[in-house]
Amino acid sequence: MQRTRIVAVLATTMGLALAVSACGSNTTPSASTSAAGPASAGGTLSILMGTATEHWDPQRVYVGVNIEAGNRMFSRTLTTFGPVAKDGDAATLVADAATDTGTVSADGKEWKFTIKDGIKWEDGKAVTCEDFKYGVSRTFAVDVITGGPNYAIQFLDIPKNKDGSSAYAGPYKKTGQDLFDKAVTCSGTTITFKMAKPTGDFNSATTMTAFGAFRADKDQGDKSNYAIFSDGPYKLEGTWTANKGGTFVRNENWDPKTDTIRKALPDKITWDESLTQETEYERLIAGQGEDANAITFDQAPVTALANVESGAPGRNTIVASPYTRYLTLNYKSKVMSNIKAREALALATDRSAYVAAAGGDTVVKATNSLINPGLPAFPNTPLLAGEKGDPAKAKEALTASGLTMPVKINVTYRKNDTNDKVFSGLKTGWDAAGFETNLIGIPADQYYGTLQSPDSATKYDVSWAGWGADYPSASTVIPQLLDSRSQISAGGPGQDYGYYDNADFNAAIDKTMAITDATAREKAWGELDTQVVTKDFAIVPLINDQFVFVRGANVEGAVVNNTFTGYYDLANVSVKH
Amino acid sequence: MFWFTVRRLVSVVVMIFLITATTFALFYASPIDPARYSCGKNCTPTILEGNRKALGYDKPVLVQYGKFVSGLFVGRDYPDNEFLQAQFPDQIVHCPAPCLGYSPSQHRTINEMVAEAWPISLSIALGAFILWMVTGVSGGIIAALNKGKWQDRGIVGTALVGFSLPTFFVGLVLLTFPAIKWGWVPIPHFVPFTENPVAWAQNLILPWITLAFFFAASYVRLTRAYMIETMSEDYIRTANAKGVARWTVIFRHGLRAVLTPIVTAAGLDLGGLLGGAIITESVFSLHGLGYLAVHSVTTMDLPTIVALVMIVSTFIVIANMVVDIVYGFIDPRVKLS
Repeated sequence: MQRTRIVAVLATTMGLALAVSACGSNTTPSASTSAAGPASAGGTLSILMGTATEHWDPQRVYVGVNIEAGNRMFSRTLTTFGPVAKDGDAATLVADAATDTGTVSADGKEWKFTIKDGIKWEDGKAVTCEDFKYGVSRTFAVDVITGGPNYAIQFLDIPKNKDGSSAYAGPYKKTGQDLFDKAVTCSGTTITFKMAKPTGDFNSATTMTAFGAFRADKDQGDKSNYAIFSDGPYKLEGTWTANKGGTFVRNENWDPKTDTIRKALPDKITWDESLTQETEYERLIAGQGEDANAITFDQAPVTALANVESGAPGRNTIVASPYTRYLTLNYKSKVMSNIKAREALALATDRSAYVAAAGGDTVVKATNSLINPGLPAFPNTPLLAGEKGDPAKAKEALTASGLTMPVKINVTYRKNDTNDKVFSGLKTGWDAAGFETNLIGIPADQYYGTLQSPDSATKYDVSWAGWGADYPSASTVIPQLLDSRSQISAGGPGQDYGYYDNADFNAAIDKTMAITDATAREKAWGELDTQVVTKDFAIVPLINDQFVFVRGANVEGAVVNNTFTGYYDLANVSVKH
Repeated sequence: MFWFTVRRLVSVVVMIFLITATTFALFYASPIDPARYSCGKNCTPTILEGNRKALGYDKPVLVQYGKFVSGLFVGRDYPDNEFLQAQFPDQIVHCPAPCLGYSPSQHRTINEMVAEAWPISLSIALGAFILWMVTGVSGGIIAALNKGKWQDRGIVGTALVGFSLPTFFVGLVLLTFPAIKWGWVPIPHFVPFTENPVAWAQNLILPWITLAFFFAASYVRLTRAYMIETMSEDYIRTANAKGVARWTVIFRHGLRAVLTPIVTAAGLDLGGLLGGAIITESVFSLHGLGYLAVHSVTTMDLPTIVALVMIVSTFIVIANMVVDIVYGFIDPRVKLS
C-alpha cells in the first residue's frame, strides 16, 4: 500500500470511470461474483503481475500485495485477519502463530503473545519466541533493513536519541541492545512487548509481517531481501529473480493443524512479474490455456477497463478501495495559514466536479472524512455545503479573512489526463469564491518526492494526496498524516504535507492511542478526523474510489479481503483441474 | 587506421567520464531526494536519514563519484558500510571490476543486471536490424528501379504507413492478435539463442517485425532517393552503354555508391538500439536494457541510471567509430587519417 500503489490505483479508478461512462454501461460497484466456491485441492495457481516486488524480507514488506501474499504463503504473523466469505465482508482479527490475539495489561502498555507449538521453519526447526524477537529487532536497523513499516520503533518502550532516532540501532550494531532486551522479552514460548505509551490496537499492528519471525542464522542483511525462508504452507523453489518472479511449492514442514487460516489448496503457485500490466490484463481477459488458472494483485490498467465487463463476465471484481483522496492546506503558506481562507476553500470545493470528471458516482464517491468508509473509525462527516460546495458562503468566509481579493493560490496535484479534468472542475468552484487558482500538475513519479522536499514548504498552498490504512484502524491514518512530532522536521514534512502542527491535537493522538477498548478508540479517531476537517480545515477530503480485478475462469474462492489488504486473499483460493 | 582508432578510443573514454560526471551532477541538482523512493510508506525524517545512509547518498557527491570511478578499476563491496564489511562479511556483496555499481532497488550488482538484460537487447536489435536492412534496402532498390510505377507507389506507400504507425501500436496489435488471441506464435519471453535457437527466434519474431516495420520505412526512402540519383550519374550511363549486365550495374556500381549514407544511418540506428528498444521491450515485457532504463528512472536508481547512460553512450560512440572505419572499405575515396 505504498504511495506508488496509490498512484496506480487512482489512475485505474479514473480510467474505469471514463471507460464505464464512455461505454454507457450501467456497471455498479458491488460485491463481485467471486464468492468463495467449492474447495478443490491440487493444481497450479498462476499469479500474473505487472509490478515488481520490492521486498520479500518480512521486515521490509510494506506493500499490501506482499503483506497479503507473504503472510498467506510463507510468513506467519502473531495475529492476522481471517479470510472472508465474500467481497466486502469485514474480516475478524484472529490468532495466527500465536495461541490467541494477545493479552494487554490494564494500563495498555504491555502485550503478551504465546507462540503455538508445532510451527516449524521449512528446514524442520521449530519457530521460537526468539525468532519473533529477532525479527522485530531488525526493524531498528534503519540503515540496513530499509523500506519497511516502523511501528516497532514507534510503539516499543525504547528511548529516542535527540534527533528522534531510536537509541537501539538493531541487531547488527547492537547499540542499545539492552534497551531492546528490556522492551521485548521471551519467557518460554511467550513474547512480551513493552510499549512506550498505551497502545490499544497493538495486536492489529502484529498482523504485519514486520512483526513476523526471522531466524538469526538466516539473516544476511540486504542479501536477504528476496531470500524467502518459510514457516507457512509454501516455500520458494530455487531462487527469486527480481522483475521475473519465482515458484512456490508446498512446505512439507507446515502443519495444517497449527493453522486455521490457510487452506493452502493449490500444490504450486507460480509468480510471474515480468509482464506489463497491459499484457497481463490482455491475458487475464482472454483467459486462454494456463491463464485460466491465473489471478493478479494488480489493478486493471486504463487500457483494459473497457473490456473488463464484456471480456471477463463473472470473472471480475469491483470493490471499494481502502484509499481516500484529499487536499492538504499548507499552514506554511501565507494564504492557508489564515483559517478563514482554509474554511473558504473547504466550502468552495465542488466534489461533484471531481466525481463527474472521474466518471460518475457509480465508481467514485464524494466524502468529507479522511478515514476510509471501510474502517470502523469512519465518522461519515457531512459535507459542509453539499457535493457542489457553496461559492457564495465561501466568498463570505474569504472576505472575512482580510486577504486581498482575488486571493491567489497555487494548487498542486499528480498530473494525468483525469486529474487535469478534475482540477479544472475544482478550480471553477474555487475561483467563483474569490480565489485565483494556479494549477500545477507534477509528474507522478516526482509528485510525493516534490511535496516532501523542504524546498517546497512554501511553494504550494494546496496539495492533492491519497492514503490508505496499514491495518483496519485509524491508528494508521491520523498519526501518520497529522502527528507533527513524528512527521515534521528540517528534512521535510513526512506525510504531513500541509505542515499541520497542533500540540493539542498531538496530545489527543496520544490519548486516543491509549484507549484499549477498540470501539471507543475508533470513535475517538473519528472525532479527531471531524475536528481536522470541520474545525481546523487542515484537510479537505475529496473522494473514495474502487479497485478492479480480473481472474481466470478456473480460479475459485478468490475473494477480496478489504479488512486485511484490499486484494484477493490467497487463503481459500483453489484452481479447478 | 591504427592511430585513427586509438584517437577515437581515447575520445570515447573522455566522453564517458564527462557523461557520467554530468549524470551525477544532474541527479543531485534535482529537487527530489532519491532516498525517499525506497523509504517506505510512513517515511519519517529519521527513517529517511537511515535510508540515505544505507544507499550511500549521505556521502558528498564527489566521494560518491570517486567510489564509482574506482569501482570500475578495482571493484567494490556493498553495502558501502565499513562496520558491516568488518563484522558481517556474509552480508556483503562483492562486485568485481569493472564494477558498474549496485542497484538499491533490485538488490544486486548492475553488472549482473546488465549481463542479464544485454543479450535480450542484443537479440532484439540484431534480428530487427537484419530484417529492416534486407526489406528496407531491397524495397528502396525496387522502388527506385520502378520509379513512378505501381511497385514504387506500393512500396513507398507501405513505408509511409510503417513510418507513421508508432511502435507501441504495432507492437500491441502484434501481441494481441497473433500471440494472445490466435496463438500463432508464443507470447514473447526471452529464450537464449544458445539454449534453443528456434525458440529464440519464435519468441522474438514479433518484436523484430515491430521494429523493422518502423525502421525499414526510412531505409526504403533513403535507398530509393540515393539510388534514383546514382542511377542517373554519367558513369552508370557509361556502364550501361558499354553493355555491362543490368544487375552488375545496379549492385556493383549503383548500390555501392548508395551504401555510404545507408551505413551511416544504420550505424547510428543500431548503436542506439543496442542500448535498448524502450517501447518495444516494454510492450512485449522483455527485460532488456531499455526496460531496465525505464525502471531505474522511475525509481530514481542512480547507480543504474549512470551505468546505463555510460553503456548506451559507449554503444553510440563505438557505432560511429565503426561506421567511420567501414567508410574506408566501401568508398575508396575516403582515407582515415
